[in-house]
Amino acid sequence: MDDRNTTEIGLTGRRTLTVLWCAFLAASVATMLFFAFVDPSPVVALLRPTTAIPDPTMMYSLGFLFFFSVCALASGLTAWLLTP
Amino acid sequence: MTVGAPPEESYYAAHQKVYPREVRGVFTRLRITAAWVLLGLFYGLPWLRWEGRQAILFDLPARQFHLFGLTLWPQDFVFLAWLLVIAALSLFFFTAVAGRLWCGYACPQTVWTEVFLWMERVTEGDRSRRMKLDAAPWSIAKLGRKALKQILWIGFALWTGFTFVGFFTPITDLASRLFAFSASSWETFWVLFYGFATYGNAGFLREQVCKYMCPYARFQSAMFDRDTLIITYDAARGEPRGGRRKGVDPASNGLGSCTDCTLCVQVCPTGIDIRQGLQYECIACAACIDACDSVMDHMGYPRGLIRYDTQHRLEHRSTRILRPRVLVYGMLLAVLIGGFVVALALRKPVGLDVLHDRNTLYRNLPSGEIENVYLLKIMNKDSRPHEFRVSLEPEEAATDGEGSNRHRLDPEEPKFLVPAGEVFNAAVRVRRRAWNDAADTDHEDSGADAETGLGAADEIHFVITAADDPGLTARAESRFFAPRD
Ligand code: SF4
Ligand code: SF4
Repeated sequence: MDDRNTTEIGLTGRRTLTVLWCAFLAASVATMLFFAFVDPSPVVALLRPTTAIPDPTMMYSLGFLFFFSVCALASGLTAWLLTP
Repeated sequence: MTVGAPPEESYYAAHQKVYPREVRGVFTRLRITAAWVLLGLFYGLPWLRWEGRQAILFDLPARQFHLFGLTLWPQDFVFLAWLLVIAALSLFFFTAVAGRLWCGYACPQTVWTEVFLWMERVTEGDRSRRMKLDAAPWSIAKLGRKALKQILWIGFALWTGFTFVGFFTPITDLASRLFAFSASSWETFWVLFYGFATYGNAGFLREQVCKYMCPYARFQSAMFDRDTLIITYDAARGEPRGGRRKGVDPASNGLGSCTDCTLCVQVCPTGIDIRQGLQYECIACAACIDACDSVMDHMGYPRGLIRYDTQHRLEHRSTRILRPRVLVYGMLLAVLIGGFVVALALRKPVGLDVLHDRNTLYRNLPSGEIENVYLLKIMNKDSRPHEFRVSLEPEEAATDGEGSNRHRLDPEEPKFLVPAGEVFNAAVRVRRRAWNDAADTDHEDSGADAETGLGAADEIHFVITAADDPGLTARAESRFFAPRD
């Protein structure tokens, strides 16, 4: 354990990563709650003839990415506005 | 040796010039064992089979969660939430008893960082070698070592991402698809995403995650009190610190037990000096305990200058492990776990959802009857197939003379065979005579809308019962619509 040589990330890096990480946590919870109650398969079935949607995995992924970006936006703005 | 002896004569001041070796000791062994067990579970579990399918699988497309013989559905979401509460409370409990045990032994951040550090050590050598290597000009050897490290890191990170996705999609299929380069773009995306996250967290950020990004690191102090076992330096025994020869009785030259070898600082993964007291950066990895114990052994002093202990005992006051906080956490935990087990055991392996046909509220049949159509979703959460009989629950206001229901199913008793662990969609028709026909007026028209003329609605209850097990039933409510007369 004596062998650390971690590259220190700067303040900006710290902020960005913290924002992304918190957004990831919140988005995971949101995705879980949302898809526990909403089944995306009817939507997939509805879209399937017109678009090349292979599987529900895409709906789950898009759902997560949607929540992730919204949460990242919120925590990013918060971090930015709280900057002295 | 006197107090004022020049430092180069003292044993550990000299030793300090040599770059420290790896720590060895009880806690290091414990930590490595824990890491092996956890990594083994993570990388091994998705490959485990159980009754012909993957033992642990969050099957997203099918919306089922397989846990050995148990299949959980979105309807069982409460169990998952319950589990999370149990996990959180255990964290509280263990933190109250012995501080950041989680961080030192179980946190994925710690475990994966150790693996990445090990790979770095294997390819680039120990700390001094690496510092020399970094300072040296680029050469073939340097390039080779660096490249080898990156290959190991990236390979391991990708394997981690692959394993992670393997918890969500059958891992054997995923493996064959990935190696044939025919995985769906989303699967590839998630493998890369988690691979990248692993690399970033364990290879690049390391202890900075603990210092800057971890919520637990910030709030764990709220669960501490002066009776919590923490990693402490016994300042009363150690100070005043100073170098001395091996075997010298510290009392004879006015010193404490600390030889000021700074080994505890050198081994600390977060780079703090535990001798300055408990700091929030300390992840309780106990590396400093092992390091210090080895020094104490060498000097012939008793071990435990740095040890797990409570603030109270360090202040020579009485300390209790079993105190109200621990008892309350412990009791809550026991109740929650007990309740979880009982609820899981009592869980009915059958579920029923009823949807009213979306397109037509009702139909007037030539026979004078009114018909509604429903879609029944019958969930067989059991591990064997069942045939389910559908019926309507007897109605209180069954007033059409013969004591039977006002509503009836058509056909009378539909049966559906539902395979194990599947949802079966069944359309069923319900009929009843029109109101003017039925000549009874006590119907409730709760859902009726006089203005749109939509009609009255009766509550009806569907019941399904397994033909081979009358105890296996589920019930769901819906509405029967009829024109307003
Ligand atoms: S501080 Fe946070 S990230 Fe670091 S080991 Fe502890 S729980 Fe894990
Ligand atoms: S002071 Fe450092 S080495 Fe000691 S337990 Fe804490 S983190 Fe580990």
